[in-house]
Amino acid sequence: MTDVNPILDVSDLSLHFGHGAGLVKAVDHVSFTVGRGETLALVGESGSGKSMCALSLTKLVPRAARFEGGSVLFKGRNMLDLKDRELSEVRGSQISYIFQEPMVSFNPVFMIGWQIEEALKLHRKDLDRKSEVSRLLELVHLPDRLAKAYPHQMSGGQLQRCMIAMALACSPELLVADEPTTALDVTVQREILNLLKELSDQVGLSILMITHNLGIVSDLADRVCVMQQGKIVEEGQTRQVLDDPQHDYTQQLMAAVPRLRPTVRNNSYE
Amino acid sequence: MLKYILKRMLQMVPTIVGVILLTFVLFNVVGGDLAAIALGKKVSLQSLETFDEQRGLNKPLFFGTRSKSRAYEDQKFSMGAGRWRGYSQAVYSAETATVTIQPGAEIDPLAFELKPEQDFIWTISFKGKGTLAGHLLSSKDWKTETIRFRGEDAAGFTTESDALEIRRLKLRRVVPNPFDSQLWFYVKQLARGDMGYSESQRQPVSELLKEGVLPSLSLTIPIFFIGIVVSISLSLVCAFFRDTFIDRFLVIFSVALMSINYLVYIVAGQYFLAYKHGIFPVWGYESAKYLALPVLIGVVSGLGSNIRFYRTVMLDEMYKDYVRTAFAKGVSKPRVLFVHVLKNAMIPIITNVVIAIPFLYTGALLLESFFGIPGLGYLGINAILSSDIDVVRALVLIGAMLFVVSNLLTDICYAAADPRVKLK
Amino acid sequence: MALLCLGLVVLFTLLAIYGEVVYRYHDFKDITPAYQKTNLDLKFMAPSFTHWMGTDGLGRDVMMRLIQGVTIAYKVGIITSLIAIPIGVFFGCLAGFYGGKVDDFVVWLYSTFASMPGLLFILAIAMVVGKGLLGIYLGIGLTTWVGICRLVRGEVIKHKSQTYVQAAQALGLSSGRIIFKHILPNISHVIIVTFTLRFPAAVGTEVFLSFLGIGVQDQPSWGLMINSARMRLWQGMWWEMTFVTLAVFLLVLAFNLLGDALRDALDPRLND
Repeated sequence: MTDVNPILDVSDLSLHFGHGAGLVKAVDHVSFTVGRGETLALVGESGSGKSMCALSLTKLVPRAARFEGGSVLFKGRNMLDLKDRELSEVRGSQISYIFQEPMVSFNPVFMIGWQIEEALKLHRKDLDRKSEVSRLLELVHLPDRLAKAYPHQMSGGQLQRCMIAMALACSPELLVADEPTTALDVTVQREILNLLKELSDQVGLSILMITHNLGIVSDLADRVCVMQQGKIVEEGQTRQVLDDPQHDYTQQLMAAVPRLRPTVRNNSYE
Repeated sequence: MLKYILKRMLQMVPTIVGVILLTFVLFNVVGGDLAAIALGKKVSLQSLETFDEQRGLNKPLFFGTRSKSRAYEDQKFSMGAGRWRGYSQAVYSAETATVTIQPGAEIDPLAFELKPEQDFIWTISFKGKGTLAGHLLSSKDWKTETIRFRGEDAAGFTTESDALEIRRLKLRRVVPNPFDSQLWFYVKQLARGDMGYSESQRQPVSELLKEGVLPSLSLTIPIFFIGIVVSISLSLVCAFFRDTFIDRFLVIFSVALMSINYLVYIVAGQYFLAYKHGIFPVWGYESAKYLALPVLIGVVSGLGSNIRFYRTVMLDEMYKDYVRTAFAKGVSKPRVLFVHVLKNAMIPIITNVVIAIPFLYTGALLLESFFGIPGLGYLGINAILSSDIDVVRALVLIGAMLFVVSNLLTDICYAAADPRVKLK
Repeated sequence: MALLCLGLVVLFTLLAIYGEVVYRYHDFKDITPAYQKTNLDLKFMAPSFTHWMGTDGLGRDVMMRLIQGVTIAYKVGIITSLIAIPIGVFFGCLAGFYGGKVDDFVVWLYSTFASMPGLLFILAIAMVVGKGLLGIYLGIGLTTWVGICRLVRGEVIKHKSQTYVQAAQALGLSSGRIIFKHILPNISHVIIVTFTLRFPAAVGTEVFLSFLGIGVQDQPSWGLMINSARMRLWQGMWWEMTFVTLAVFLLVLAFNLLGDALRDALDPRLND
């Protein structure tokens, strides 16, 4: 472990669906930590349980899921023991989320500005919310007028920026980005990743990045955990894991990355 | 917005035309002899003709130059002598399917006097000698002739020394304007806002409708609003407590409510609550107290399907991604439900609610007749039982028109509630 | 739960067949069946071992009449489906498959029918056609094809763009063959579920019409029984009313729940 006092300490977490023959161990005795200001990437193919891991942190999992033990310590508090009301206070203000599909993750009948403002209204009562919304939009390089737009009037890239603005609204300490770029065009992906990187450097944010894209991992993550079928199969510093994968599955993932030239992976965008 | 509304109103036109055509087809084409349905079979042909005349039923259906007259209705001699049985000077033969008018006879086959200023045509297949409507018929072999005459010149058969054998005989009225059809008459009548005349009540239908609206609305409006409030609240309860005991109970409860026949609600409600326990008056329309039980029954009977529908709508919304986003930014469960989900669910809910508006007008058919509320439902049931064609047709037509209009309203509400609906 | 409903449905079906056999037998022999024989000595008997559900105002056994009522309910449910479903499926397939002008016409046709005020329109059809079962069949059958037409049209439009249909078109199969041999089997679940769910609705409407005296005339329909039992109820004869309403309730409930279960099993996307 790199950090003696991590902001997030997940240990032995298990999350199951179904019963009997239909039992699915979505998360199976998973442990990892995220240090302050650190970016941890959780890598794996679809269905490997990485998204469920992310949702478990504040109990956002679907109703059918059952926690079968383990703990999620966030700043020393076990999130799994909190009541709904206490969880609501943590969500958005200390742990924020960015989801995969920006097009459907916004409420279609409210304006974007209203939706960003709602997060502020819930957690920071002292602010001038209108100007704060403009500041946040500016932070993600969007014009102020988009506050009055509805989600269907915007592009996926713009929406994902709004999602980031909304996530950062209450200066959270941990940002959980669940496949933040998967649903976007390749060029837009790059912009969003640069933005995340810029922000994490500016604000000193801890990020839990869920992805299946090893390119993103190599760009952004300090450390990486590789998940397969609900279990963590390999963990370590990004460089070390990517350069010298130990587990068969990691090697397969590495081999599956398409490359233009072997050197592309080492190009950084700083 | 205005442009959108105008455009939607234009789109209503084909449906309105369809509704008019459909009621026309149902009553004038499928209905066949409406006069006989309305007046029964025991009245004179003359009064049936008057009924037809008033309603334009003696005209061709869509288009034509000839129309039938009840003064002499078509009949097949192979099926029997029909009205010829009544003439002593005519002999019917079933074997040859003919009627023979004896020599020296005078027979008028018309049931009543024809309109003097109209033109008529007899078509006759005959053998022998005689006159019809002043026209001499004479042939040794079977021959078919048409005789055109004015109504005032109508005259029956006369024979002198020879007999006249008839194989076929039909009377047609000449329609001067071929477009002067039943359909055209119906459209003109509707354009005038004339809803027809009630045979059983001896009053214009529009008068009856005016009298019935208020009692109907006083019953259906409370049912409508209380029903919406109760069923939406209960469906929100379902959504809030989904998959718990409360939700499951409400689901089973609503299926059970749905499965109870409407009649049973009325009969049981009237018997237990009004008759047995005397909580409500049994029958009548005197004060608000008299409306309480019918309103209660109306609300309860509609509750089951509404709860189910609204619950499905809410739960569909609950599984959408934006709900997870809202939770993730720390919105509490009640706020997610009442602000985020409800505003989205409003869109299908509005449809369901607005579509029910025509029912407010046509009234609750059975409730009104059971509880003696003199509204349009009561009127409708009585009209159906007494085959009062014009009243039934007016109610069906108005119900359909209101439905078309509420569809328009739904779309406008949609456009107002859902920013995604494009107005152009 | 679903099994219990299935059991109830099977039970009702058997009763309906039994009732039909009894009816046909008496009709064939031209004798008055027991359920129609009046016996004023036996009138208004409370339920007992000889008459499990008591007797009505003319001394007729309520249970026997109830079973005949099942037969009529089934006839109405099945025959109206045989009218409505083919019409709906036919127009739905045509509109969905050909689109364009055909689609416009079908949409116009069903929106016109959908605009008609439901029960009143059925009553009007029954009135125009004349009292009796025929009026009920036509009234319900001709008004309820709209729902299935909409569903089928939607499904056909969905399937039309799928590769198996495009492959069939590329092979040069005729449109009729594609619709009926390829698409229709794939949307048959829609038809099955619609049948199960419209069955109880048709039964309910029949009860209503017969109650008003527009429907069944001389056979023991549930609607007629409710009508005659209604007045007796006020005099304290509770049994006829109770058993008839219970029978209607159970039949409708069983079909509703079965329909729901079928819908969940066959296609969870199909909503009301």
